[in-house]
Amino acid sequence: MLVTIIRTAILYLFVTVAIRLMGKRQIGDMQPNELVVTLLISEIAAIPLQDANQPVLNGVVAIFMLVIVEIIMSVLTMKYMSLHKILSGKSVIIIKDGKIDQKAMKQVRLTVVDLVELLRGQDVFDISTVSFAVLEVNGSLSVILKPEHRPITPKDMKIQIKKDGLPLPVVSDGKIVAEALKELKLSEKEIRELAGMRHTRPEELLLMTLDQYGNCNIVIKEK
Amino acid sequence: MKRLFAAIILIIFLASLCVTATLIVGNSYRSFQQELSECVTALKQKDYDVAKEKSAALARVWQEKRGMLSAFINHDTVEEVDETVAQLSSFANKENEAHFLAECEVLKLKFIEMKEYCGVSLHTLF
Repeated sequence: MLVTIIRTAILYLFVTVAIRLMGKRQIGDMQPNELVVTLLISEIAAIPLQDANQPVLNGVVAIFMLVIVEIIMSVLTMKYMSLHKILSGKSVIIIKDGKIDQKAMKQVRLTVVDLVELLRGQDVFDISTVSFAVLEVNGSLSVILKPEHRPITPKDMKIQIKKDGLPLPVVSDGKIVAEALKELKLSEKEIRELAGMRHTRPEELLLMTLDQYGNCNIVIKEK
Repeated sequence: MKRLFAAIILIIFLASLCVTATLIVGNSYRSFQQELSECVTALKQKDYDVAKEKSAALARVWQEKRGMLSAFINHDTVEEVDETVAQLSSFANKENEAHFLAECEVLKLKFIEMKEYCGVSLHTLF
């Protein structure tokens, strides 16, 4: 039993490191080759977990070899677009100027039901409002609406709006976050002064966020 | 670039692991084969005491190396060799000579299997 616990912990660590090395992506956003590697890693890790007669090293070596191949392939596909096309395929235009390209749909084996579902996922319910719809290699659909159906933006209205920055948590659970202060080029004293202006102290705060334009938001801890 | 650097480190790690595994298994295989052939020679010369001594020496060498070998080869093979090595010294007498030689042959095959497990060949690849 203890052996199983230790072997599981070891494999958990190695699989976590391997997935971390592959980069941050959700399963739905993965390229086909990335998905294959992820599935294989989970399968390979399960073998030494289920069978105590298999040396853990066999699993570890196979997992790391897959990660190495994946990293090398990602570097190569960045350099050579043709290799990227072979491994991942290419995006296909499915709708052009409100008209479905049926040939393209057959080529990617996409049914009308699938297309309508993907469009609904993009808040599009009328195909005639679509200027372009592109089926990406990861299976998602990117949609550009016709200009007359696009939502109005402040730019269209020629309205000047205040820029917003990225609110960073400078105080989290009563503790000042040093990394956020470094990013905003502020000192601890300045944070205390900002909190003081709101009649409180950092220790009394659950969260305090601040952006580079000085917009501050605080949440006081409940007693 | 950082990921490529990590890949290079991993390649070095895996390559050194492969070399270590090949060296350890290869060296162990040679030691076992030498001890085993001495056992067989002694028995064929009807020198049962020496055969018993040599089989005890083989068991000692096996016990020294089995821990390290378990990291690289299938544990089933390790257990099978464990059993055969343990039985070997009890067969080193006149009555069980045929048994002894048969067990030695089994051990020899097990050691070859062990060596092939870490080696690259058409058999292990496919």
